[in-house]
Amino acid sequence: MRKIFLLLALFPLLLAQQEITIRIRGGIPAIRIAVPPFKIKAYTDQGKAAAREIEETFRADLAFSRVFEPLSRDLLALVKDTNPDKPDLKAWESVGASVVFMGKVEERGGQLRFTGKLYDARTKGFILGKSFFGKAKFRRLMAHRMGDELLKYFGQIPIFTSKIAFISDRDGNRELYIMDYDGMNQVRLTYTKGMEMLPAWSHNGEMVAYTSFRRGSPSLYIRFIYQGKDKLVAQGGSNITPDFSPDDKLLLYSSSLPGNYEIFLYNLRTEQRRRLTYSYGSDLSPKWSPDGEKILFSSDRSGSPQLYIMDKNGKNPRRITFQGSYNASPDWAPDGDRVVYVSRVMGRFNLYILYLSTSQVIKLTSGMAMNENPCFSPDGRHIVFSSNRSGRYQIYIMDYDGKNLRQLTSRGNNLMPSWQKINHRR
Amino acid sequence: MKKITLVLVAGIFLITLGGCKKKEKVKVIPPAAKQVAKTGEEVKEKPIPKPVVQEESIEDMSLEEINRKGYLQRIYFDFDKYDIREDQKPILIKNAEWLKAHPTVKILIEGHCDERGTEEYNLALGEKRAKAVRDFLISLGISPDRIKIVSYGKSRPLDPRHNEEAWAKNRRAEFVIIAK
Repeated sequence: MRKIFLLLALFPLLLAQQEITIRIRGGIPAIRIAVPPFKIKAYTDQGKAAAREIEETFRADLAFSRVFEPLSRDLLALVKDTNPDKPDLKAWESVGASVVFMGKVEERGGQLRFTGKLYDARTKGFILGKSFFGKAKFRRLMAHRMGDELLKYFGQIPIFTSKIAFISDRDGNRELYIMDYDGMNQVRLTYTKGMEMLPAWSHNGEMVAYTSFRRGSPSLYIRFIYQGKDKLVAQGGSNITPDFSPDDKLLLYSSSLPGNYEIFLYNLRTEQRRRLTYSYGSDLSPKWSPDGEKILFSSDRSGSPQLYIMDKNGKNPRRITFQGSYNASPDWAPDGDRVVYVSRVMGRFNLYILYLSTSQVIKLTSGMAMNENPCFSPDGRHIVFSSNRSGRYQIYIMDYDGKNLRQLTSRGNNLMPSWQKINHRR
Repeated sequence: MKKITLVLVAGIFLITLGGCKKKEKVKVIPPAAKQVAKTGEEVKEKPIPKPVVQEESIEDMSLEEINRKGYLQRIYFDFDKYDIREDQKPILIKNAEWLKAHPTVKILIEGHCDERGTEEYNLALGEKRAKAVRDFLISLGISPDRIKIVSYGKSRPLDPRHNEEAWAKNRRAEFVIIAK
């Protein structure tokens, strides 16, 4: 009897361990990183709290990334290592770490300095050292910047400083907001008392294109975030679903000016525009391919919304979805092979991924609720979307395979997220 | 004899004119009619004594008040459809009559949808609904200059619940008076 009990108790443990050793994260084996407790030298309560937040933010970034696999606290506790300048790399290797990050936060004259050193536990060599300093209010940014440095070192796209634009009605009517990728620092950008919707980030992180009803009918604007200025880009009819080209020089959007929704191309510098589609259906949600050569969009020209890809001049449209009678709101992954979209099946709206190379379709969400406006992270490992699964619409992120679901917003309705794209080809 | 005929003709003329302009006011103002008949002047110029006006005139009301009165009734649509339902046509005909009786009024037609579509396609569907209503009113003789349209997609449901009853209420076209 005792033996059985022991076996039962051990069983989940064994399973858990097995899962860790074989898990593949985002196409590459996750890098097992040891992050022992930071050395914190702070004198004020505020400084201590800020330093702790830097450490927690940094840890959360790594755990989120699916590039790194931080060692558990239990494993960390096995190694007593407090000297950030000379870690016991042999000991770290023995508990399974590939790399070791030694962090230090110091408070100096009202500022914080965050220093990190990365070591290779196998070759026992020093890899990278980086230091950031600034006022306590930039504590989270310092942590995200450090995380980005690690991603860049391992050849990954830095996503921790990327932002998400979205629409919220928390103050009464739908307005444009932005926030950090982890849901912190939510900032309201518009105060029009009209209605704002369907924002899209530029790649340089300085512009958000969005639709506003401030003048009655839906017009398209570009908000220059750091100047606080708006530029009217398209009016007359309804103008929605903008998307910046990888070089941020061209903007695709849909306009109902011709009578039904057609796709237009707008040149930000010359302010000239060109109509790209001529169909009887509503052509919506155009999205540039990551290389800027093709355009993905949805159209109900066949009778119901389906996804299409055409050349960037509007030629050679070809249908890419054949399952289901309602496929819309697509977004193209940075790898160019995956497309995430909304499909209506039996009256339910769920997110699916289509692999263009194999035509394989994978369902990401399930349930009765609405799941909408999916958008890939800059590295394609995560997806942000909105859902009313908890009653009101909220913004959620999950990994590309549907795992690690997290809710980012909670006040009012929050919807139509757009995750900033990063053009790593530049 | 001739004089009496003239008075009668002028009286009828006035009633018809008045009937076009504002039906509700005419029936209660025979004294004014006589006055007009004598001079043969334009009818609408004459001041109408307040006490005898029994039904309200939209001229004295703000746009908000007029819209609250609900002179123009909303109509409903079938799921994923934008053609005007047969049972909704009489409502639009009544709305058109009211608009003809108030020729200076301008309206905004709002197209709305239930939640069972993406934001984007519901904006498109709402626009098609608003256009279908506009085209129907134009076919009844309402000038296109008096009609603006907008689609709010599914962003402004009448009933926030997630069932058939709510959806049926939310698939609609609303009429907002934007000038009187």
